[in-house]
Amino acid sequence: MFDYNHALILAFMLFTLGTAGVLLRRSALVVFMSIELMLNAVNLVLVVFSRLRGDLDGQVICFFIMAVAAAEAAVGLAIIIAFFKRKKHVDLDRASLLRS
Amino acid sequence: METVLFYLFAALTLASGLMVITRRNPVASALYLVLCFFGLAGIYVLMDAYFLAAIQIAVYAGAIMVLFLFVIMLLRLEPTELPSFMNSWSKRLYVAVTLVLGGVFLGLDLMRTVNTGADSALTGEAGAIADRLFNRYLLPFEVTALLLLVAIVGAVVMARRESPKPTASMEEV
Amino acid sequence: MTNWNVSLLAPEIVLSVCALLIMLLDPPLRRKRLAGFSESVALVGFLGALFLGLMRIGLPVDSSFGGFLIADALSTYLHILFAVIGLSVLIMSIPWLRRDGVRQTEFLVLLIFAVIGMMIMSCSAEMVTMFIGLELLSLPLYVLAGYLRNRERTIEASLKYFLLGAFASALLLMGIALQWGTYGTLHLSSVAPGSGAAPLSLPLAAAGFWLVVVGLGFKVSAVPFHFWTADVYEGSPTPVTALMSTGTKAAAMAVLLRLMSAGFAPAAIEWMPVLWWLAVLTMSVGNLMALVQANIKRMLAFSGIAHAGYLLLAICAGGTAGNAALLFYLAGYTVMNLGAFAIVGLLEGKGERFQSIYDYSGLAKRNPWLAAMMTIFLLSLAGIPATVGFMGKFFIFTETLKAGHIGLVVIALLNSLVSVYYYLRVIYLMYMKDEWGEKPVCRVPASVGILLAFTTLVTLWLGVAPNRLLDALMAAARIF
Repeated sequence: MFDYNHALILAFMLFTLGTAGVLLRRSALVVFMSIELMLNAVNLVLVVFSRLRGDLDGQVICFFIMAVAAAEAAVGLAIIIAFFKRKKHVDLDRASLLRS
Repeated sequence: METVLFYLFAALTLASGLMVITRRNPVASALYLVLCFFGLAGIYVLMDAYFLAAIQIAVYAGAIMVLFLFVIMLLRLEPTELPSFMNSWSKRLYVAVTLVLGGVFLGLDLMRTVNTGADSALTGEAGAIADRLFNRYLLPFEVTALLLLVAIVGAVVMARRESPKPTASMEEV
Repeated sequence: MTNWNVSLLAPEIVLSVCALLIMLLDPPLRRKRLAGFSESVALVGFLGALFLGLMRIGLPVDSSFGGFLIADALSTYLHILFAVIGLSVLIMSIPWLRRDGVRQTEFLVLLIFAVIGMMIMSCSAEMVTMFIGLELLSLPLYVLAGYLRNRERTIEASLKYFLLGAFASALLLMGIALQWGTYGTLHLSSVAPGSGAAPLSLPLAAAGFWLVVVGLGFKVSAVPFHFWTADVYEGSPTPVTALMSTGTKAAAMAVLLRLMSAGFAPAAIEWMPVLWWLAVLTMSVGNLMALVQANIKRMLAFSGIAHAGYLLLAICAGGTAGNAALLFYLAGYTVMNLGAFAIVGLLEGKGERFQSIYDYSGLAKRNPWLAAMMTIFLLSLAGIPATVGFMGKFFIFTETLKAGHIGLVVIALLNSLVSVYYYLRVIYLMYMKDEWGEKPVCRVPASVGILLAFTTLVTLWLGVAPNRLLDALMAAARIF
C-alpha cells in the first residue's frame, strides 16, 4: 500500500498549482480551469481522509462538490460567452474598465 | 504494484496539472485537464473509491470538460495570450503567500503529522454512498437540486440569443 | 430515529413553490397579456416567507434532518431579515425592470433563489449545507450582476464577481475538507480545537480553519479580500447591488458568527489577534477609500466594507451581548442601505446615467422629500445620534470596550469621524449646491415610496427606541 501522506502532498501541490493558475493567467477560461484544478485537489483530500477515517462521508461530500462544480461550470461558461460576445476577447487584464 | 501505479498516476496528474496552467492554447490546457482528471480517477480506484472514480470520469472528464471544449471552440480564441508574469505587486504578493502556504502544507505533511497507520478497508460503492446521500445528507441533496435549477436558468439568461425586437434599453452607457 | 420535520423549512418551501410557479405559468400567461403575474407571485412569496418567519418567533429551539438544520432564534431572526431584504429588492427592481425594459421573469426567479440560499445558510448547522446554501446564493448573483449583459460594465462586473467568487469557494471548500479530515465532523458546534473531537493533525486543522475564514472573508468583503467589491457594486444593476450589499453580507456574517461564537469559541486566543487586525484593516481601508470616490455606488461599496469592519468588531467583542449588538447593527445596516440604494436606483435614471455624487447637487430643490430621506440614511450610515446607525455603533463599541479591546474602539471611533466627511459631502452637495447640468424630474412610484417611508421610519425609530429590538435579539444571540 502506498503512503497516504504522499497522496495528501499531491493534493496540496495540485491546489497550489491551481491557485498559481488563478493568480497568474489572464485568460478567463484558463483561470476557470485552474479553479477546477483546485476543486479536484479538494476532492482528493476528502477521498484520502475518507479512507483514513473509514468514513464514507468524505466521498459523499465529494459528490456534492462535483455537483457544485457542474453548476458553476454551466453558469460560468455562459458568463464567459456573454463577455466574449460583447468584448471579443476573454483577457482579464484588458477588462479593466471598472478599475479606478 | 499498487505503489508503482500510485506514483505513476501521481506523476501523470501533477505533470498534466502543470501543463494546464502553462499552455498558451486554451484547448491544450483543457485536454491536459482531462488527463489530470483521469489520473485522479486512477488514484480514487487505488483507494477503493469506485463510485467516485466512475463519476469523476463521467461527470468531470465527460460532461464538464466537454462543456469547456465546446465553449473554447465556439469562441475561436487565438492562442496569443502570453502568461503575464506577475504584472502587479498585489499579484506578486498573493503568489508569494500561496507558495509559502504550499510550502507549509508540504512541510507539515513531511513531518508526518497525519497518522497514516490507521488504514481502513473502506470501499466506496454506489449503494453505500446512496444510503448516506438519501439519509444523512438529504437536506444538502435537496438544496443541490435547487442549485442545478438555478444553474439552468442562469445559463439560459446569460447565453440566450438576443430577443428579436431589441428594446430601447440596450443603449450604450 | 432521525427527525424529518420539514415544516422548519416552510419559508424556503413557499419561496421555491413561488419561483416554480413563475417559471411554469409565466410563458402561457404572457401570451394572454396578463401583466403583473410574476411580480404578484413573487410578492406573495416574500410576504408568505415573512409571515412564516414571524410566526416562528418565540418557539423553542428545534432541529431537523438529523441535526443538519437548526431552527433557533438566530435563524428565525435572519429569515425575517432576508424576507424583508427580498421584499425590498423586489419593490426596488420592478420600476427598474419596467424603466429599462428588461426581461423580468428570470430576474424574479433568480432573486427568489438567492434569498432561499441566504435562508438556507442562516439555518444550517453544518458546513456542507452551509456551503450549498452559499452557492445557491452566489450563482444567481453572478447572473444578476450581469443581467444586462450587453452593457460593458455589467458583464465585466459579472465575470469578475464569478471568477473571484468561484476562487473563494474553492478556498472555502479546501478549508471544509481539512476540517472534516481532521475532526471527522462538520457540525458548526463541534469543529473546534478543544471541543472534544480529537483532530488527526493540528496544523492541518488550523490551515482548514483559516481557509474557511478567508473564504467567508471574500463574501463579507473584508480587507484584504475586498478588491472585487467596488467594481462589482458599480457594474451591477442597482437593485442587485442592494441585494449584494445587504443580503450576502448578512448571510456570510451570520455564518461567521455561528462559527466563531459556537464551535471556534474555545480557540479564541488564537484567532482573536488576526480578527483584530482584520477588523482594523477593513474599517480603515473602507473609510479611506470611500473618501476619494466620485461614484455614489462605489462610495456606498467602500462604506459597506467599512461597516463590515464594525461588524467584525462585534465578533471580537463576543459574548451574548456582543452578538446581540452585531445582530442589531445588521438590522440597522440593512435598513439604511436598502433605503440609500432605493434612492440611488430612482435617481440614476434610465440607462444608469446619473451615478456621480455631483449628480446629487441641488437635489433638495428638485426633490425635497428624496433629499431629506437620503440625508437621514447618510447621517445614519455616518452614525449621527437619533438614528439606528448611531445606536448600533454605540452598542458595538460598548461591548467591545467591555471585552477589553480599548485600542480597537479608539481606532473605530477615529474611523467613524473620517466617515462623517464623505457622507456629509453628499448632503452638502444636495442642499448647498446648485443643480449641475440638466436632470429629468424624478417621479417616485408608490411602491418605492412606501418602501422609502418604511425604511426612514425604521431608521429613526430604532435610533430613538432601540431597546425592544435589542431585548428580542438577546434571545437570538445565545447560539447553540
